Amino acid sequence: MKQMILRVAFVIFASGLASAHGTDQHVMGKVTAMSDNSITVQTAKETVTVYTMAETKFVKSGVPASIKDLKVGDRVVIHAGKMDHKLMAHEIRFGLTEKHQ
Amino acid sequence: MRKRIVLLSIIVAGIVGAAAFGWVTIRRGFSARDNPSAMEAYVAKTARKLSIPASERDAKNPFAPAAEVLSEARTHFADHCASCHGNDGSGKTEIGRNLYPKAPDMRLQETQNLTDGEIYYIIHNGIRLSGMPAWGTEEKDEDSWKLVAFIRHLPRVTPGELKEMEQLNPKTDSERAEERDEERFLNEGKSPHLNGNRHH
Repeated sequence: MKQMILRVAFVIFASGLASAHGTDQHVMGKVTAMSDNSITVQTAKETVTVYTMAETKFVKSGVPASIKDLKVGDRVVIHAGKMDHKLMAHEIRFGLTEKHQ
Repeated sequence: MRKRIVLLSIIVAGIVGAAAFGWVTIRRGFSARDNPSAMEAYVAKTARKLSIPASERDAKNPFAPAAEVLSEARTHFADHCASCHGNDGSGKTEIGRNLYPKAPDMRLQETQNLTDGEIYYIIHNGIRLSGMPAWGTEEKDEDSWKLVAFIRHLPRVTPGELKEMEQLNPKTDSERAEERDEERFLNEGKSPHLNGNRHH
């Protein structure tokens, strides 16, 4: 009982807001559709929709970019984590790399 | 008498509510994916502040942010710090995002408002009950002071500097192979042994 009271007291102190992040997943494919907060990608196997967040990093040809620089038809590599059963993009890379420009 | 009953009822309701909240949370379990509560963050920040002696807090960086110092610190940061903090100091890395508490965005005021001495002390001594280890030897270490100069530079770090740092980040053979595959896909559209969607 004493232990339970201590646990409850600790939990009241320690508990916080839930914010789910998953282990990163890599999505590689061609952009087939875009909206203000999502990008649909056709990979070799399936169609995947990845959602963007305020903190999503866009990198074009190795330098910081924005969603405006991305177009339907571009090849992308997206590193994303699952949050509430949705894939949320942490980083979206696209564009040719230096050696190929 | 009536006032006492009202007060007692409020206290009992508070205890019952807190106990119910605690019980539900215990059943849900703990995860490092959560964010610390406001109270936890306040207690932790206060404890961190109290843990830094006043004499250390006011210490001045013996190194001016000269190009040579920043270049050395940038290399050091890319090799030792970036896996949690990111090359840009944003903390948006797979480890940094999932630590408890999460790695802070060091470009923001919360870090930039710390004194040079406080930042040095945190690097040199680490922060207990967090993911931040103590770096360097027990003696004063010049490398940590140079890192303080680089952390001050983070809000103005350039794309060129970030690109250079990427080459210096420690990587495993499989991470290098994965990067090569991704680069090949972006440049040529070829992904020979990938199905286009994988976990790690």
